[in-house]
Amino acid sequence: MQRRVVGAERRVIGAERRVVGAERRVIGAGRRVIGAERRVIGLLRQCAAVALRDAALQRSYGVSVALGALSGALGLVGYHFIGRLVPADGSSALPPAGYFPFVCTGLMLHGMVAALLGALGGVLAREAAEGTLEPALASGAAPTALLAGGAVVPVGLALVQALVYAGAGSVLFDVAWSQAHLAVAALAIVATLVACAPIGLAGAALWLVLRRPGLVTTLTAFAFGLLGGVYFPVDLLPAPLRAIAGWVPLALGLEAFRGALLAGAGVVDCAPALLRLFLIAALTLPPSIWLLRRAWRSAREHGSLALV
Amino acid sequence: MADALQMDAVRLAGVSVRFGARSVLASVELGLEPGEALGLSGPNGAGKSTLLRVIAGLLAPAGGTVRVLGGAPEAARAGGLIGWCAGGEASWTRRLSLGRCLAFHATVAGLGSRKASARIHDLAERFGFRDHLDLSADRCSTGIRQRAALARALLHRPQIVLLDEPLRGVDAASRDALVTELRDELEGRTTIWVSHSPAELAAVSRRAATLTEGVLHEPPRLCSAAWSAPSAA
Repeated sequence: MQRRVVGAERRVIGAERRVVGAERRVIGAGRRVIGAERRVIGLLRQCAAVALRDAALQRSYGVSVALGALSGALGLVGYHFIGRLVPADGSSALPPAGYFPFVCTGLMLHGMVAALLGALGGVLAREAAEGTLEPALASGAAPTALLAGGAVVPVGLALVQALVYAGAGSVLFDVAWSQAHLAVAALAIVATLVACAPIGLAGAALWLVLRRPGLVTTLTAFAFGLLGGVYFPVDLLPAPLRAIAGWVPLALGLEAFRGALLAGAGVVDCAPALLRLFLIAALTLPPSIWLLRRAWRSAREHGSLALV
Repeated sequence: MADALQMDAVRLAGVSVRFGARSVLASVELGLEPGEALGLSGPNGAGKSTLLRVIAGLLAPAGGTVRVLGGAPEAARAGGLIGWCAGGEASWTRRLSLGRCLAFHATVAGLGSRKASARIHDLAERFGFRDHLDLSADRCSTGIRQRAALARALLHRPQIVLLDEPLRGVDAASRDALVTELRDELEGRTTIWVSHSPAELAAVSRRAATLTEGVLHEPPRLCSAAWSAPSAA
């Protein structure tokens, strides 16, 4: 009888221990989640700090920022007259809306992509040139926060400029946005920026190795000008180039962006381009992050992190 | 050895750094206890700034191990445990005010806006640049920017403080007052203070070492090297 009681007690103790072990594992997992949450919150706080600092820097330039956006809008006038040379009767590869809305939407998205690439590829170079890279790192800033936070203001300004383009297009040149599907257009912007981000990260990595800012931005400006479909439809390109353009993020993004803004295309209509953009992002983000980490480590080893 | 690694706030074992063919640091051995202060001197190009960069995690050594508070220096830096001041006069977003720049660093280091503001004003008052907080960095003198750089390094109350010629550009008349404030602020923090002035180093630390051509020379220690009663610089 006594043995059975002792055996039962041992089983209870064993069960209690298992429960305690499970509790500890749950607590451990909870702590890891909290730790991860804190790291994410810390990173977001740092991104916000970088973005706010850059915004203050932009404000210090006063009206020149607004003048920059305005001068971009004035540049549209030239495209309006070029558009008069192109018939909008459906005989060209242009969408029914005509040339001007085509190039206006192209410039809107291209401006945002160029801002992102310039920011990601140039933020470390700018911080190093200013002498603020090492102090920021010493204060605990994560390189990720410097890159991501440093892209917020340029992309935000490009978005404002795109809105100025849209307004100017509507008021001055009778572009009709009434059938625009804004949510899908926003999705196209996000997908395009995410798919183009690896190019910017590669630009940052190249700067860390070669110390020559703007290399990737220059190369992509040429590639996007030819294959991006900003100024003319990619359908006009020879077949081999057209095939390449089918994988150029800007060309894909513009396909969805224009469809949403000019033809009121929905998510289903834009799905092929959007899915291809997300596939490009999934395939190119990991290697670009790896490349940047390698370049960062190499710069730390060579003592060239903050060299200009 | 394991105990030493656990006890030391900073531990360098066989650390070497090469820039191309040139050896900058050669098998540096250094241990600093929590709260200890080391005065470091040496000729130009001896590797003093490089040594501080290694400890701050900004430069990875070619050989040897570096432990800061028991972990990798990058982790200590990312955790806001290190304060680093070097070349302070040319490390500002020049169009922004010193106060705005310091607020940025405080936020990055994890301080809330109220705490950051109070801390910035306190340090600015004590380090003698309160009247310059609203001026853009490019309108401030070298000495004022250097004082602000010291405040930047200490904003987040780091456990490890690395100061590379912290009084560079500071006028002689206010050096003593600034050293006194710095001594108060550095109390209890592990500190390496680099300077070419033996008098300055004697005023801030009992422990001294010299770096010559990448080799650390340190006389035998006879007593605790923690912060002691103030003395004139």
